[in-house]
Amino acid sequence: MNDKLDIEHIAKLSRLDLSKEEKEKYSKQMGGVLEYAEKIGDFRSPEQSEGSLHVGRDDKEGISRDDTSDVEVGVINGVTDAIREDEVGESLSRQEALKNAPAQKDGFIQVKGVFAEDE
Amino acid sequence: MTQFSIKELQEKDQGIHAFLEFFDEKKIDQQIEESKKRIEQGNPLSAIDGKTVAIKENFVWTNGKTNAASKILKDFEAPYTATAVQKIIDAGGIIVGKTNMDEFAFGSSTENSAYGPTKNPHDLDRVPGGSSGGSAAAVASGMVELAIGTDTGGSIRQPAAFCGVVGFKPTYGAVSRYGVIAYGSSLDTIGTFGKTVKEARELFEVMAGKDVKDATSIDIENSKFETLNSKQAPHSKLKTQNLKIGLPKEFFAEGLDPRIKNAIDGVVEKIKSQGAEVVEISLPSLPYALACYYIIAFVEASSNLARYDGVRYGFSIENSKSKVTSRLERRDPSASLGMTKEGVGMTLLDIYQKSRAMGFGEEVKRRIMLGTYVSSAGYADKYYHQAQIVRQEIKKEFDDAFSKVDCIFAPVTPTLPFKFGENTDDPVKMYLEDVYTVPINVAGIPAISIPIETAQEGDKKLPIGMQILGKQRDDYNIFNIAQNIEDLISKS
Repeated sequence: MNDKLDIEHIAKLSRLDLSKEEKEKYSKQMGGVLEYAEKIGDFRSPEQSEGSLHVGRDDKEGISRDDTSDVEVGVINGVTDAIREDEVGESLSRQEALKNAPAQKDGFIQVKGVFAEDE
Repeated sequence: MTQFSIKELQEKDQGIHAFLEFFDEKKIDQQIEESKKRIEQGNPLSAIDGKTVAIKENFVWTNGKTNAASKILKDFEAPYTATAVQKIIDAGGIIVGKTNMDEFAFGSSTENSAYGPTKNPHDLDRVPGGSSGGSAAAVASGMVELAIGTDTGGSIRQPAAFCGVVGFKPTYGAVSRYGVIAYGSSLDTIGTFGKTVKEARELFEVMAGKDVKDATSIDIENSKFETLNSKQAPHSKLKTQNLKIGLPKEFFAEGLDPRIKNAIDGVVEKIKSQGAEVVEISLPSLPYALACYYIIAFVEASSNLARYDGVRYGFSIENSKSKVTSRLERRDPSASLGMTKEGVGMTLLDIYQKSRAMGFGEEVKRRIMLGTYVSSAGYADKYYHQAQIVRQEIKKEFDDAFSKVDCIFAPVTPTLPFKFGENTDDPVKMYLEDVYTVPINVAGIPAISIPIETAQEGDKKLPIGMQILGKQRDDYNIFNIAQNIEDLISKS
């Protein structure tokens, strides 16, 4: 492992409230999994070996990019651009859609204020 | 035709816990009656008309609840029914209930269910596999004739092998994912369990087909059912003497239980004696497939589970009953969740963080955090994008292999069914159980697990399965080949 896992940051990004003990436990377990996952870095595709595909670095300017847009993602069985006409079709009724909402009011799902100051 | 009784089923399930929910007995009886009439009149709706079917708990339906074996969806009543389930209903299949699974399909043993594990009918001290452990056990124990599950990294094939039944995973997109609680959207498939290849195929045929509600779904060409003695197709590629089978050397290296290897060798010898050609092939990227799978799956999982937020549906800390709260506090007294019964004083962030922390099990939290980590700024390229590159190479290697062979034989699992608790202390140890199944999901190809032998362990006979893999859209040919192997094995 190169960096110590910032479990506070990860738990916050994941929207998970963890106790101190849980943070320690998960941090350790995740470290083990990431150690295994690291081996992916040893892999070189033919394009990577010949230098025509770089992951994460713009060699010309020496800037580290965290956005490798050349890498193909998500085309599994050849289906791409599966779009339909922009027409209204059948959909859930409002009642059905609210069926399982923990809090609702006036036909809306009720949610705490995002920017509320005093809660 | 089944003489059916829910009470009998519930009694039988006492020792196994394959089911989490049973459907209404009166409705089942009515469906059986209607099915009987249709069959007597010679008008069955399909080959599965009147057959009992179990549905994994991650398919939504309007006939009951859906919880994906998680507390965060306890008592959730979906407002719509999954396409795959509706097709079964429309084909006359008698759905008797929903089966147990690893929570959100994260697991290989069904030990991660928030409602208790399922037992392997062949040895009650051992796991049935996962995540579709309940479906596999329900068929293996004879509680139902057919069952459906999902397979994202092996979750149909591995429990099928552990429980000694047939488990089929189709080409990605062959069955609509509409109404399936998503785990890894580029990997999830819907498949079937049956005692025989024929039954698994008939159930698949009912569900297969492009669905306007699933933009990744496809139609695949059905092929006539062909057997070894097919008169209609004397020059068929699928006649055993014309068959070319590949054995990837990377799959038969160290780490494979010798009893499993020997069992597969036995099948290979049998099929060679029928005239098939068996060649060793190499898929050099296979050793990276497990890391590739887990990185992509965890990223997609963390994205897909963001919707469980205590706001739109499911468990919410805001109106959690005090009973739930105190039980969880007792389990982890150090958890200073600082919550109140009415949620007063909580911010929106609190609602998210506390609802999710309380509603999700351990493995789920681990995978969400791992997925978040490997896709986060500063790490996405190293892990996620790199994994996507590996994925393309694995797909290419399978494509190349299938230009040379008709199908590939492979083990399903590296081990025989393991005992409860054997792999739960170390996540990586558990993940390694999937080493032979995940490459198939990465490549999006179809695969079937068929039982080939049993291994004596004490006074128990533990099932051993073998995988037959095909190229994308070759699902029906794979069924034909599997049928031939099944016939070959049963003859000897």
